[in-house]
Amino acid sequence: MAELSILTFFVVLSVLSSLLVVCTKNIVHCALWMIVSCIALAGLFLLLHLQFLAILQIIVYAGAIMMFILYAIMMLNLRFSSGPYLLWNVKTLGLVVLVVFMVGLLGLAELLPETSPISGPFTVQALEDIGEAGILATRIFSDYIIAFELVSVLLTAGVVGALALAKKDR
Amino acid sequence: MEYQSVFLGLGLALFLIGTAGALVRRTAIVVFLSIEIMLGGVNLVFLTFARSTQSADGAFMVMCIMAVAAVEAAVGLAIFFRMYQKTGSIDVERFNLLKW
Repeated sequence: MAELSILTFFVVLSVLSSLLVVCTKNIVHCALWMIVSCIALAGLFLLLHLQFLAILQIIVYAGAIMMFILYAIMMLNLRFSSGPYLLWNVKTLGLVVLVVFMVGLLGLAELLPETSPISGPFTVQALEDIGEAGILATRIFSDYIIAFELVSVLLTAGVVGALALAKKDR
Repeated sequence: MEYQSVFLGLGLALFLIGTAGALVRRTAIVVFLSIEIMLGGVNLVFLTFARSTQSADGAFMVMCIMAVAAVEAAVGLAIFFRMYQKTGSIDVERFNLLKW
């Protein structure tokens, strides 16, 4: 019962804060509501018993990325966008098509078989014994090593690219 | 797993809210934030299925998505800086050099 009320709280919080990110006029407020949305998502990860990823979500999204974005907003001195803040045109039609498509997708998901094959390292016993960070670590350095190294190369390339782009004159 | 449909529905809702924001807003930073909301919804769906099928693939994918989102933030904000230096605003309507 307590779990259900916590779940309801985080679901309502994340939907409301995401809507406010999309609807607020003040860009700084948008970024601040995005932090609330990230923290609500971390709470939902905790409800899925994935503590490591919840902490990662708070550190990486709410800590690093959002701080970076707030820095950028304040350095560019943007508070309100110039002119009307919405683009209403043919894109709304596309939006309607998208909503219909997604609802159809959800209907398709309802048709899927109820039981999915259960096999893998995330058993309840393993989660209690070595924890989810331990399971992930052993998988990262064995099965997923190539993907992991590619992500690190991508991070390095991103740093170099951002520096090259932000340099004033070359 | 209990509440699985709640998590999946919330992931879908976050994805749709993010799509609406990315299509409708005209400030580039808010479009970027909307894309982050979409990534959050996808992360939630990945983790829900990772838990219900006991597979670690979804959790690893979420870690990769977080790293890619960080790279995206760095490169995207550098692009916004250049855009602001060139046009004096980060309105996506005025970023039209690639339009044909």
